[in-house]
Amino acid sequence: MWPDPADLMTWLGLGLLLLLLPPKRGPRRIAARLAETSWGERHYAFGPPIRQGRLADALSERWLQLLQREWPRVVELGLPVYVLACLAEQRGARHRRALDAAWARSPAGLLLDHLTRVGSEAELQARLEERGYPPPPAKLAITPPREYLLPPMSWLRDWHRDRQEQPPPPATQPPPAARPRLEIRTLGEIRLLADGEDLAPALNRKPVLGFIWYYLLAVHARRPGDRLARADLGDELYPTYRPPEQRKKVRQRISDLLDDLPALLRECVRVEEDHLRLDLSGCAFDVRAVLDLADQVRREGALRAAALLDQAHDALARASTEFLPPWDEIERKGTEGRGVAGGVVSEVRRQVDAAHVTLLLAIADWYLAQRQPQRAVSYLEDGLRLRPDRPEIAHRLAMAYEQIGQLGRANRIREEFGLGQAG
Amino acid sequence: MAADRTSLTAYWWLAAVLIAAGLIWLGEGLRGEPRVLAHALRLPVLVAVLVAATAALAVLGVRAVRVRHLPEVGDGELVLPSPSLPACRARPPVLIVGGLEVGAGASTITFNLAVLLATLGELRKDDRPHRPRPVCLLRAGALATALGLDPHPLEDRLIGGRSGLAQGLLPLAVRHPSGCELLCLSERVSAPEHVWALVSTLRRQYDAVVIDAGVAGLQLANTAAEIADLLLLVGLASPASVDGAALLADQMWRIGLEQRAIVVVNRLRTDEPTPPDLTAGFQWSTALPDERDVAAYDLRAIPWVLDLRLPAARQLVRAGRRLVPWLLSKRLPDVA
Repeated sequence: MWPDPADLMTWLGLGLLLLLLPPKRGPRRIAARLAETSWGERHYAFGPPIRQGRLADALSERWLQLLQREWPRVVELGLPVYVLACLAEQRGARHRRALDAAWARSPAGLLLDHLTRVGSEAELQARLEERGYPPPPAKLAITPPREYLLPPMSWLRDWHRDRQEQPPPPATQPPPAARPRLEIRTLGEIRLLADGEDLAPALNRKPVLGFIWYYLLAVHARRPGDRLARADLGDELYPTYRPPEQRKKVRQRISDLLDDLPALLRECVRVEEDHLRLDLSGCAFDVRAVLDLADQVRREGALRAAALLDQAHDALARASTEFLPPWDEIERKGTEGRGVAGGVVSEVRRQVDAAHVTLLLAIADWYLAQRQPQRAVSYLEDGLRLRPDRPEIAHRLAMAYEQIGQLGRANRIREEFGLGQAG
Repeated sequence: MAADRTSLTAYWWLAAVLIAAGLIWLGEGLRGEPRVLAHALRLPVLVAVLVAATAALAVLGVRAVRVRHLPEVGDGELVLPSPSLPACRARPPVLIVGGLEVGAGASTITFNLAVLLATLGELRKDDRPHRPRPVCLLRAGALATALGLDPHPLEDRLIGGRSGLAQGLLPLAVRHPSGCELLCLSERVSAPEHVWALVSTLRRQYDAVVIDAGVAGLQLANTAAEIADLLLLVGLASPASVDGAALLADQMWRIGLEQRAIVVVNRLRTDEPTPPDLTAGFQWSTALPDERDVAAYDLRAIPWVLDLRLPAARQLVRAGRRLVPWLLSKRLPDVA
């Protein structure tokens, strides 16, 4: 029997549905393409129509043009995916318009506008500033080296020649460098050196006199020129005595101090009516050297001369040790640990610790200024270990790590100390 | 890379559907059996076809109302994936750009990379943002001429061998309105010792150094190993670039530069896939699409990277963000 034409229409209809409905692209690519189109990366999700460009003004004509140009896309995508593609294309077009608007206001857009319109640099900078953008950097200018005016070399050669013709002056010995009469070392050790001889054992054999001398030394270390009242000394040594007996005992002890101590040590002691103090002029005292250097660095804000760097390194080595390490034993032997002299020693130790940190940071800053961040890192690490409560040290350390390219460590430090991220 | 298929697919499908429908109809008719299925489907299919056709026409009608212009993209659009590139941690970074063949685009990419850093880069000093100041050494050629650069002053300075290189060299740099400074290199001063001297001086004064090395050879690879933080090799999808890449790939691995060498496939088109041998010997690669407008900007010595409407500019910005993430500002316009 002959095929029924109506059946042909049925099969054709099914075929048409197959053409119109399901997409002919892989499902994985559909999602990716639609996403790219929504973000404006593509104008068309699955390729352009047959003809692109402007459409007619009249709606009916435009509709026919679209039918003519878009039907391959409808067939290829299937109607549902085609609708999604159209929506994605519209969204992408809106996104592109927004990006273009943002770009026009960005530094790139403003600069391109300036270059294509050839406006003035001042206009460009004003427009950038108006939008809160930093201006482009100015032309690099380097500071020319200072010119020194020197007399000509011929003058120096003439002078040397003239000197050679004159009789030589009598030979003179250069004056010997002034040596301290007493070198006092109390950081990490106790040594009282005079002409190579250590006087500390002799002092330590006299517990009470030794206590008095070291106590006066701590008072001087805390602040040069400070005095110790006789009454305070009496309270330290004889706390249970009544004042008249205390004063008598203190007089006896002072007399012993002036009689029994080695000459150089007793020459340092100044006895006044109500006070005692040490006069260390002509002596070298390591604690004061460290504290004075740290004070100088604090006043000047940094190490101002290369020569100070060596001094700072020396002072740093000493400042990392403790002032009067055996003080507890000295105090126990002198006063059975009853007094408050320990407070003065503790204060000096705190000053030394603070000086230690100051010198660490000063040396680190020196190396950073010399563009040697890798040398500064170890000093900043020590400084932070000693003073973890100072976020500015952590900030400098993070910056030093960034300069040497160790961003992981820098970020860890910033996170640990709650610092903002670097730019 | 995602290329577009032609619209011939629709025609093939149409033909296939017509043929299939015809064959099924003929087959059923000639078998002589009762056509129950066809009869059963007749009405639903008719309704479905009417609904689908109406829906299609309606969708096109709505589209006709909203759309008056179909954007022109030629034969297709090239959408490149976000580049995967090594980050340069050195500060300041020294980037050398060489071409795998003549005309690959090394000069334009060097210039635009430097302008990108100058315009969209950000550094912080005392917690205040400021723009970096990169220096770009361009090879003497069409782009350098269009920018008004002259190689002779630098040549005299370097070959003259006078001392005080920084004092004499830095005033020769020409400032571009983006803030980037430009110097022009001639062939006479491209020997390694001259490049060494230049880079040693420039990296102390500038925030980034970008060098156009011209056509890349083995000598460039050796120089780059010593002084460059990253080496970008620009090539085209052509046999000449493939040959150049093969030669340099071996050298990169031999001297331990493979982690710092990147192939940039320039002017990529939808109808011209990247030859696999171009990038096979390298760990890192990226691509820039072909754009008419790029050549037009180059002729006028205007950096095309500033026109972020161009896909090539956006792709270069993405690459820059990967190469120097600490330098390119977080406040960039969104380039996805």
